[in-house]
Amino acid sequence: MKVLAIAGKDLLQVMRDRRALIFLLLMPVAFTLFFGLAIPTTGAGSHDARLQVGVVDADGSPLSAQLRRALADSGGARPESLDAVQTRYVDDLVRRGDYAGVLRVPAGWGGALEGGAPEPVTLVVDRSTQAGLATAQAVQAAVQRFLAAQRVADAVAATTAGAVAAHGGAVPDVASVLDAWRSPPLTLEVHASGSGSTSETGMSEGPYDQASPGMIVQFAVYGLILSAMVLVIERKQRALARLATTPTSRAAILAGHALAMLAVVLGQVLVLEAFGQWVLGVDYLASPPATALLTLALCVWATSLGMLLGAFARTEEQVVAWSLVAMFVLSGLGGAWFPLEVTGPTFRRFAHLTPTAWAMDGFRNVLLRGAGLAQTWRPVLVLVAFAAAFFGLAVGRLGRRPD
Amino acid sequence: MKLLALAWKDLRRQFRSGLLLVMMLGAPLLLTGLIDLAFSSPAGTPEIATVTLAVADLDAPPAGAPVAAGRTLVDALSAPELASLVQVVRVDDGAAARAMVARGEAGAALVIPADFTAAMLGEVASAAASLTTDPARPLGAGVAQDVIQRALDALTASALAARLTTQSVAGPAAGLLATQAAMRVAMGAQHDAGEGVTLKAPVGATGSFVTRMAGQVMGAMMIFFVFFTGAYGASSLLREQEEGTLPRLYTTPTGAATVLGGKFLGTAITLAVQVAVLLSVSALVFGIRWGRPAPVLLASVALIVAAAGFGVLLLAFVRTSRQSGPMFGVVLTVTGMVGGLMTATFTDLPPAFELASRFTPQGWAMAGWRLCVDGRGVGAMALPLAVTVGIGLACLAVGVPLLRRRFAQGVPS
Amino acid sequence: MSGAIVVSGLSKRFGDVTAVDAVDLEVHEGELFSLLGPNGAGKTTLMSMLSGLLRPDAGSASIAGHGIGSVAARAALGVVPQDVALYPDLSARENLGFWGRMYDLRGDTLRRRCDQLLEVVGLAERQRDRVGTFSGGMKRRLNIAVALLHEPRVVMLDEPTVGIDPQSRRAILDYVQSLNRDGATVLYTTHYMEEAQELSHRIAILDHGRVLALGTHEELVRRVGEHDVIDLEFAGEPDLNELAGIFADLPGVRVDGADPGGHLRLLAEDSDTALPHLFQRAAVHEAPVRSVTVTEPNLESVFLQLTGRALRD
Repeated sequence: MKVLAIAGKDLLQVMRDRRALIFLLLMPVAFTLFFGLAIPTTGAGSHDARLQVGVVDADGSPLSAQLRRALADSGGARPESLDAVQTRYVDDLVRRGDYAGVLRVPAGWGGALEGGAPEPVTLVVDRSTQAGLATAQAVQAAVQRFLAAQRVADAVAATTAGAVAAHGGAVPDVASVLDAWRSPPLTLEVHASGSGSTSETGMSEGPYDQASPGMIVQFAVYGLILSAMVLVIERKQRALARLATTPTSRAAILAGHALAMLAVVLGQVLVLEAFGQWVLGVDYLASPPATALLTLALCVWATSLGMLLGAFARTEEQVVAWSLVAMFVLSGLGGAWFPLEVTGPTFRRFAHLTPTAWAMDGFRNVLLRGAGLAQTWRPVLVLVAFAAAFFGLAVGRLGRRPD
Repeated sequence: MKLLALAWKDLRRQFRSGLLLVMMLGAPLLLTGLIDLAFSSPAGTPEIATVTLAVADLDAPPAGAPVAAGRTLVDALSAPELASLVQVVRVDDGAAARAMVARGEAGAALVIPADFTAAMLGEVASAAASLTTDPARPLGAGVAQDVIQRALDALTASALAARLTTQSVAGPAAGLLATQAAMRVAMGAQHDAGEGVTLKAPVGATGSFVTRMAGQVMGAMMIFFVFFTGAYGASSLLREQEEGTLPRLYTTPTGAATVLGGKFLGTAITLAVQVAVLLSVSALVFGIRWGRPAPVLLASVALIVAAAGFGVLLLAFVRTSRQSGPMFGVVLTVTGMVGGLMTATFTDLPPAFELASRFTPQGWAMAGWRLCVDGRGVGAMALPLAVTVGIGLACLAVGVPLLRRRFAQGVPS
Repeated sequence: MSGAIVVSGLSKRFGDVTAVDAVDLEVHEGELFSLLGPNGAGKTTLMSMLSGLLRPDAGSASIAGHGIGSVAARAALGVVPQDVALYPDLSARENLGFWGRMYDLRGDTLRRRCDQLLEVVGLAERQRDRVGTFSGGMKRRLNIAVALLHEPRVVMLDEPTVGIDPQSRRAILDYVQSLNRDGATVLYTTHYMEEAQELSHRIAILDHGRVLALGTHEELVRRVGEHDVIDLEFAGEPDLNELAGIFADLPGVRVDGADPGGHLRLLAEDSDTALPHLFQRAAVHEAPVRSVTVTEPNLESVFLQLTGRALRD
């Protein structure tokens, strides 16, 4: 009962602070909405997702016209001829981002290709930008497709030269190969695992599938400021030492504080999950037992971090500074801001030293793969192990020096 | 010089506060460091982990077929030069392949249908291979899709060669010629695997993808935390009033204008130190190229004026220093977020975001820094610089009289 | 002797409350002058106006001949605020250095004054430590030192001993006296009559923003007639009027008043001779005395007589 009394007192202190509502709920909701909205939804609206590529065609041959058509067919780039003035400022146009890239077809390019000594075309592109990287990829793919079509036309011409000469008939040109390529005999269909839906890219990830669990993990850490603060103030004002003079066991005191922290963080996470489920359409209920277990493990671990912070910080200022740093490092490294998949190998290796990375893995497993308990036990185990270690450190510290 | 003594006192206090140092220097550098670590690679472009591709080849070539398209595709995907992109694991059937994806053991599963060779040979109109991707790893899925599509293109080229040959030539030789044409295409593809495209960076473009991204993140984080410093500097007036040192200052032979001026000078110097440290440390550690000296200097000054001015304005709306922390935190986070500081590296942001950012001082400051990082001159930056400074001065014009009334009322200047 | 502080008709209102009501007083050069009054009497408001922090609604005042609020007046003045006003994150020496500059000291003079004052307030050993780590008494001492850096002609201390331990309090009272001996004019506010009594050349008693009495300790005490005040408390519910009649004809004793609750207040020329007679008459009239309080004339009784209230109420 004393444990509950202590927990109740802590909760009262946290909740009496009106800032609690801001830190625990309003901020994470705002962040989630913002990041969800900021991620562009493909194909929505009239916004043309294709990259605008300027074309300077110094060749002017039928082949260069076909190259341009291959580019237009590719779906990745939108070719547009540059006028004489623009042609002089190609570098500026690309650097300023007016065009994602400019393709230069040198004079005599078509002739060289027909003569069997192909020359490369030049793409002016700034690969230090996202658009530049995508443009380079799209243009390379289109040129490859065109060259392949050219090879097909050449091969057919070479193979059938004799027969056509003898029996008559038409040899197909690049244009007709490209035509034929519009309905190829071999195609690729892409499905996202677990969703059953088929799309062009196969991605079934909604805009909030990253933002919602990411912000839950981030603010579970950030919300600790309030709980850890209660503990530090208690230590500073010697209330903890005073409690120790009452016939209350040290274990009960610590358990009381931990219970309050757990209640705060659990309440916070549950509200944010409900918000995700019913407002943002994030499927936390894809596997209710897995989500429940994961949520509990996350909250227990967050509580242990709060106790650790409360045990080692000496001033309120330190609590704020440390929890900020903890939030940044653990959410950044743990993949709360961007999926770890997009990061480099060194980073990924470091990332899984943080419990947050495991929590994110767990949530993404449930949300995107619909994973059940069988695939959730590992992240849960890691979280619980971290929690045990943190609790051990905190109790060791507080047990030794109750002040 | 009392003004300097006042400013120096504030500087000493601020640089002694651990929390402030974390907020001023630690946090922005830490965040940029994280991003840099996350995306840096020897190539200067983001690296994607090798995708494990589970392949079930169900292709059953018709009897006497000159080629087994399924096996050719699997061999192409297993080529050593693709080893850094995809790693092929063969399984017996589609269900097993898809199960590997569901368990997270494979990034994608490719199922080659039974009529694959038949489609290539034109015996059926077309056949579709099926790729099942892991939604939790969209990038890896994209890589797998890209690699498979290229291999399919090579097969398609051969198939089209055969098909077009039979269309041009009639008669009994057609079959043989078609095979020959297909072989020619396949051989040719191996010969000129050259790119066909030479990539060239535009003159004046700087840095790699990662340093540019680090530059954007660092710029955004710098702006975000510089505004905090501005607000914190202004609110030290409030703290001094609560600590009793402000009234005490007014009992000394020091004018109100000097006291407020010293406070402003202290904040401005703190901001300048913060900007200078962040710019130089990030240039050294992350290799960020901030642009030419004059634009960098002007963008810094504009940022400092805006941050100091916004802080003074915000102070007019808080009554106690206890209130100031959460109030500044919320307002600066929201305006920073709307100003695009959290989405500095996002491309294809909805147009509304761009528009909204122009209603915040941070958005204009960021617009200026973007141009600066792009190596643009002062001329190109004139508008954002002017608006940033203008916002700062407008805030001061509104805020300073309010502060004078509140913190120096009745005190002779 | 000329007026180091001259106050004439000074008033300040806050809404409906008149905090300082047409106060006139003059503190002479070299004098140690106390303003004595309960909390809320207007002492701090008066001090704030004298130190230039508040503009008076009416009246005028000067410090060392300069109008209050002027730079010259502030330069002549050292103010010790009631609450410690120092920078906790700066060291003792850094605080003194900063405040010295605000009083236009610099260079060797500033260094020398810092050294001297750190010695005087006994903080030389801790001068490099941050003020935030100091005890309450140490902060108070430094708080005073800051006001003395520029060797002001006039020093004003606003209740500098509130809420500190007896030792620190003693030390502070000693500084104030030695400061005055060294030639400074001191204006000292307090609600402790013992302090006012011990320190001051002259005392002004302030209540509800008005000066009720002003003079030396002896002059003020003489106003209550140099009588001892005897407070008799009776058990039960005696008829105080009847008892007053019984005591009235004793020589050298005068009845001053009766309080409900069984208290009778008497003024005696000599309480030592009067008390045995009082007990005897009380016994004869079967009015058992529960307690006796004898107060020799002091500022407390002056305040009581002037306001009908105790100073500490």
